[in-house]
Amino acid sequence: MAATTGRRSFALSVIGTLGTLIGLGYLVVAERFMLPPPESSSGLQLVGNSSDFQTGAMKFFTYLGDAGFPDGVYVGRLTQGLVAYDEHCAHLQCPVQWNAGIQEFLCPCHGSIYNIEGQRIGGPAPHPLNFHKVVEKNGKVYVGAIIQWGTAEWTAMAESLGLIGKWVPGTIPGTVQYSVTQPGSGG
Amino acid sequence: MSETRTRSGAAPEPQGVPAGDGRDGPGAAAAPGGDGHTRAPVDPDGVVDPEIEGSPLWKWLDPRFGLSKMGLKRFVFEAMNAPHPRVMNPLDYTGDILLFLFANQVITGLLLMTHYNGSAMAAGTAANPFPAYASTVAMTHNWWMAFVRGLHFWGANAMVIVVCVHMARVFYVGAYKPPREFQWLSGLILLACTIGLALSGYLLPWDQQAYWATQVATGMVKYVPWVGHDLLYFIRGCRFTCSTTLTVFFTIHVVLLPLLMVMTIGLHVVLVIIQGQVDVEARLPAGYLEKHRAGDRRDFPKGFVPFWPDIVAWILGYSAFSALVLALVAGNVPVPLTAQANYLNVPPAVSVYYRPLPVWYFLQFYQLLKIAKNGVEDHLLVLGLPLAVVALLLLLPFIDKNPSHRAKDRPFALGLAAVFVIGVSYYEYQGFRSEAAAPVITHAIAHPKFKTTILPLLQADCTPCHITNNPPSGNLSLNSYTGIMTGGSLGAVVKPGDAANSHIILLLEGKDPALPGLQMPLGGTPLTQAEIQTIANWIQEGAPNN
Repeated sequence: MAATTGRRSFALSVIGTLGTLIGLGYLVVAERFMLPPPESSSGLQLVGNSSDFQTGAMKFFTYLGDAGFPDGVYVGRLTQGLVAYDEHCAHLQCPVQWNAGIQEFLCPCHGSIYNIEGQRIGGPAPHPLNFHKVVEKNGKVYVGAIIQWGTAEWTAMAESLGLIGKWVPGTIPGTVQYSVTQPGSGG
Repeated sequence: MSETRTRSGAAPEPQGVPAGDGRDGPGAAAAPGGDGHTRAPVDPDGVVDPEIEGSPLWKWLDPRFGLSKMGLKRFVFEAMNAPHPRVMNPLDYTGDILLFLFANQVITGLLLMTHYNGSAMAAGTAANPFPAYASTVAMTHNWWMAFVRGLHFWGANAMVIVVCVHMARVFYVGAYKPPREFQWLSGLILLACTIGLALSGYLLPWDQQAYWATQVATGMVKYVPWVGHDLLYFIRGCRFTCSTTLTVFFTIHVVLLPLLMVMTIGLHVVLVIIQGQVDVEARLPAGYLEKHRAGDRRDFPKGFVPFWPDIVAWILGYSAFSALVLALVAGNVPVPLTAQANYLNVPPAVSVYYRPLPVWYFLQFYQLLKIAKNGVEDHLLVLGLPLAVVALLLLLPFIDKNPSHRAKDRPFALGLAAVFVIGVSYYEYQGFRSEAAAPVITHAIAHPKFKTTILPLLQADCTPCHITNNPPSGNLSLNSYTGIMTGGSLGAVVKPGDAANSHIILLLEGKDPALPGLQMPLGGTPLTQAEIQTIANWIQEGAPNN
């Protein structure tokens, strides 16, 4: 019967539409509820005087990030300027350890190794260390929020430190070339 | 057990006795009623088991829920009467053991929840510890609480082991093949739930081991293309594992996964009941299944027993045995608990750097992750390998077109599985060895030999980084005489005859001026004085390759 078929298909489309809408509604709610807050929600924090940071040395600080979460930061001076690295390995986020004697960051989990410029020189890490914002003002040094690899901010920071040009293929034996300007999918 | 086919009528009123033989066809005869409730005049299924039907429980249930009318009667009777070989392979009971272990997890888990405080909203200092950690520590102070925690922890480990055995058995007998695809697929959901529960439960004590193992395990999510970072944040509730992660994982551990698991267990078990076990099917007399879908008490094959009560008795027997083993382990082996979680884990934030380690059944994956030499290989291992394994498992019943269940007809499938098992075992062993405990040296050995004393020490404490890494840490390989004598970035690490100025001794003591403040093994427990002295004695004697 045509009437029955019409009624039936109407009911089916109501079921399909409402079911999809309700499902999508909850998905959006869950997504909004759980997604990260804006990156720079935590401000700058004082870590010391400019004179505390000598070229070739790394100092460890605790940065109170979002919601008061303490994040480890290595702050040091390259010839090009101040730099702050997040302590979490670019591989699977174990804390890396700075080793002054060999001027390397070592990760004890899967053995990634980074040089003082934060570049991977060994182990499985897929990209360089993440930065933290670092600001030098009136002889004081402040550390800010994390700057993740793959973002435009990270690339800008690497450029300002003159690191981008240095990371060309073959400069450091046994390393891969990172396409630092391309927003990372896997980083 | 031998009386199963000549039951003595344990039911109070032995009515509903089958009218006789020859009732195989549908609607062959109406079962006589007269037990107080009405039955359909023509019962198309016949009476399959008068003993069950005569039982007080059935008489109470049937009129209330209309089991006979709903067709559930047939289902229950067939399930209860399904013929099983009198003696079955113990491996065919692994599913039942898993069911018992799951029940153990539920019971002990509920008990633990009454005393566990799942919060990490604290400074995490000695004076102001994380409630999750403090409440876990408190449980170790009471024998019965520690015992229950042991039952839960070792029960979880047992589940992982038995799940693997169960899967291997299912694979070996080909129980994933049509028409049992959905048994296999629902089993995979249960596998995922088991691993998910193990992983989420691992975090709850909120100690160093829990925190860093979770950090690494969840960290793999960021490798997902495009949405990796957002997905990671979604799972953790933070950028890095934080107090919110504990709440998320607690919810996953006690609500989400148990709920999914209970529902899937129901499906899995019902499917096994409906479709039967491959092993049982293979041993039934030819033509039996065509004649009867399941057990018919009037035509029960020789050497077979019904599910109820014989097989159920076996199941309880295996469960009791499992319970005994579990209780012995839980009562005697303390559950590991490291120091309270530390978000920084870099001195001076911690006095002893905790070297993150995975749980033992992920050591093979952990070992594999170390071998990547670049980002591409790393992505293949972190993302590609797990995806490939999952895809292969999901598609297995549809890829494997070989209908045979006999081992000798399946050389390719079984050969491939053997390669997989050998590979996993190899990397598991390597991962385990890279974390192996050092040989016990209580007193310094005056004249140590390289091969029997020094090399095993190096392999236990040093080679996890000084060979496995690529390149080895400090460009120093310590798994051979050549390696240790060649040295690394610092030059020679051994000066024969001069132990006091050998880098290896200085580094083990944490006094090397070349690497100030660094004590090897990095992130590990320092070697004992006796061990260091033993190595020093060997160097003092000229570092011979003996």
